Amino acid sequence: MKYLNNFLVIIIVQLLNVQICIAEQANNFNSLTLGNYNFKIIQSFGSLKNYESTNKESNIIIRSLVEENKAIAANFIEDRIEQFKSIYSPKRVDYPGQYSKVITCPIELQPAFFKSNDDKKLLSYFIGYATKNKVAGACIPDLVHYKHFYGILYCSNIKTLYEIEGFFDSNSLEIFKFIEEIKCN
Amino acid sequence: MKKLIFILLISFTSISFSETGTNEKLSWFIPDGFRADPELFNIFKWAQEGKLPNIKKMMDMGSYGYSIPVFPSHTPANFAALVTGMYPEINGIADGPMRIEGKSLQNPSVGGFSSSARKVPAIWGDLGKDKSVVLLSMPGSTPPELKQNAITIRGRWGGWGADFHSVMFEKINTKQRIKLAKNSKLFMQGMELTQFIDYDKNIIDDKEFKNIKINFYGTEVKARIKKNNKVKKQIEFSLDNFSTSYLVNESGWSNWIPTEVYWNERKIKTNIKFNLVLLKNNDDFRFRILIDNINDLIVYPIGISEEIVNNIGPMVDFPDNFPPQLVYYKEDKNTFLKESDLSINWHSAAVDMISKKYKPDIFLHDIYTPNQMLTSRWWMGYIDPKSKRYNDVTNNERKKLWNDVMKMYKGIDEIVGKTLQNIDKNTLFVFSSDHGAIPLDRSVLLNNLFAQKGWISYIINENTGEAEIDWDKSKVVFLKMSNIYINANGLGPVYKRESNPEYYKLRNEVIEALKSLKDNDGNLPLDEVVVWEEVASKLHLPPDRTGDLVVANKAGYGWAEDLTKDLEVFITPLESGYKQAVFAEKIPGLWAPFIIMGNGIKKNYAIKKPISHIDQLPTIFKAMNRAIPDKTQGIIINEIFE
Repeated sequence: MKYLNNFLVIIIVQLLNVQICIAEQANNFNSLTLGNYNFKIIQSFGSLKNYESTNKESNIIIRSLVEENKAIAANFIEDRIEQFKSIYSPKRVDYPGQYSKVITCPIELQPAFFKSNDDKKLLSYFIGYATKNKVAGACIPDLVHYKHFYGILYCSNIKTLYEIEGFFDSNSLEIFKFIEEIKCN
Repeated sequence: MKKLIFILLISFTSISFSETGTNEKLSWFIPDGFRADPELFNIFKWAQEGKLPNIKKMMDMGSYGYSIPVFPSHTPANFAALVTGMYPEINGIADGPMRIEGKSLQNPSVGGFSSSARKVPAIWGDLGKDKSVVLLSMPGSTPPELKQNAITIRGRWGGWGADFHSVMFEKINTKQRIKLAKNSKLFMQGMELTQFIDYDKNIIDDKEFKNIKINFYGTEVKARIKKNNKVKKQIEFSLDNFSTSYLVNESGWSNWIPTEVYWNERKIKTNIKFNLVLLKNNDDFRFRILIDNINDLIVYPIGISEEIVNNIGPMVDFPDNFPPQLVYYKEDKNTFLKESDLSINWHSAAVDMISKKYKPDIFLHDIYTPNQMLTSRWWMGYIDPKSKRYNDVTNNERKKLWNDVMKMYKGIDEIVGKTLQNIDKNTLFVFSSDHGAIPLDRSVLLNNLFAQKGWISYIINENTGEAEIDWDKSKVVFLKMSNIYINANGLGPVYKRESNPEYYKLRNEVIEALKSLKDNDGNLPLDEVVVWEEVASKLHLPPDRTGDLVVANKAGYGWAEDLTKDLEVFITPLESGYKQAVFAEKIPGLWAPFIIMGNGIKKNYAIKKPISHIDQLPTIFKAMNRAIPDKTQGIIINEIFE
């Protein structure tokens, strides 16, 4: 529960060109904007808050939680990044046999990892591919359906962590436009 | 006791289904390998006799019958069939590891237990659009597909997150090491499931103790055996150089001990438990470290794992490992039975906690314990009269084995009871399983057959007993669970499906070799061999995810990959139960139960004929008044509706 402490606070997030504005109304956050993307709160378990933005070319989900301590936030990011990497890491075969011991994802279908940390933010993210069911790990060509973004952002000014997952039309370049919008002000 | 009865009465009387009410919610409990058939494992008769009281309640309040698995009759294919209403040809899940053209055979690209292998949405993909969902230990549920309003707990072997397995530790014994070679060293990316401790390197004698130092997922564990302790067989364990220690007697267990282990250099909070399986001559030891199966990095979303463990304790998902490790010594059976109890108790508590705390609209739940017991060494071979080992035990011994099995079935019945206590009148409750299990008399080492024919090039490591295949020079290889790969020009470095005359000639030779294969009793293990061009029409399998040949075996046999020095094709395996590559239509021992209760469902109604697994999803959707998903191949079982 260390990451969930102090979640229910008013959060005002300033981004570079636009504002992320999460307004609290009687403990119910109702909206969030990120660049040209408008997010609406969606149902979720417990105290975690999820936001979703959907348009013709993308479906993006953001989960946010407050974390006062930057070191804990950095540890959180590393945990989640490692967890995501595990999808693509060589792993034991389910129903292991004598000769097919390891499942591997071809290099061309593995996601690329990026890290962008500065005074205001910690950002780590992957760009790869997802299946039609919106899950990462499309490791054979016929499973590839979306361009996929998975990232964790920590804005130190507002002490908030964001887990961001986006599914983009595989023929569109929108994923890169979206990434440009991810900033803390 | 009176209070308990009162509470139970309140719980049950509160469920009042009607013809006109709606099933807004779904609770679907799918224990893995829960055999149910009209002959030996007649659970409906057992329920009528009062042995499974909660299943009896479900029967009284709903409709019930048998359900037949799809081919191949194992977990990944059948969980996928259940949760999609489709055969593998459409949903894509034909096996555990699936190999495709253009990739090496030894490194499959797709794992059938992973959610990312499925080509279509599972039931939670559809219902999760407008309902809250909890998925507990469900194969095919990880990496989590649902990004909101859903909890995904662990999955099984989905290749996601920090997945720890319990581990055996044993004093090194070369003979045993070779015996276990194929089954202990399969977790290439994790710990070997049995660790052999070298006396010279890891055991230090001092005046008073034999001191053993081991590494358990990056954490140092110390154990010591008192030298002159002739009275008790015990080992003392410690995580901190014996300032705190845990003395465990033979066949005894420590309490849960909080600790930290490491996964990809990340520190993970967990809990462990020590079990001394056996200690002979105060020297030959075999002990097991059981580890909590959930942690923050294998449950989604964050925080849920800690909530669960704080409420109901560390998770024991299922007993033993896969491949099984508790099959080598008679003392292993006690360890298995204790872990079986722990797993059933945990899952029972989890149903209660999850239902009350998270109140999901949709709750899908699996427990692997029945499969583990019925395919283990100790039970199936001696309780099913169809087994060749049936008469190897006395009737009294068999009675005890049946008691073990019935205890497990009653445990599953208690989980059903826990669910009944927690559902309301708007919940559709379904109880089924992915497959049954039947006796395994003979393993058929197909690669030994192919080696005899000169189709496989390999060497055997003298120290480990493991075979290494030269893929470039090998032309025919069997790979689990039911696929044979063929290329007259070699199967490496990447696999290519040929179509030249050489290929067809070799393929025909392989088919002939399989058809003429007989055991010492003159029996043929092969049921059917199907060429890849016909796997869709004959077996509903996707040709692009299967081998050049798919082979089904007759009941009593099981295909195995092993290559051994003696090239024997038929061996008697330790495990005495099996389910993998048999046509389930013909074998009732592979059938599973289907019980459904809710609004609009006939009460106390026995379904006339066995249904197919793919029929369950469309029937559930109809009961919930939802549109049947596109591509669904199953049919609605209309006879159960009022």
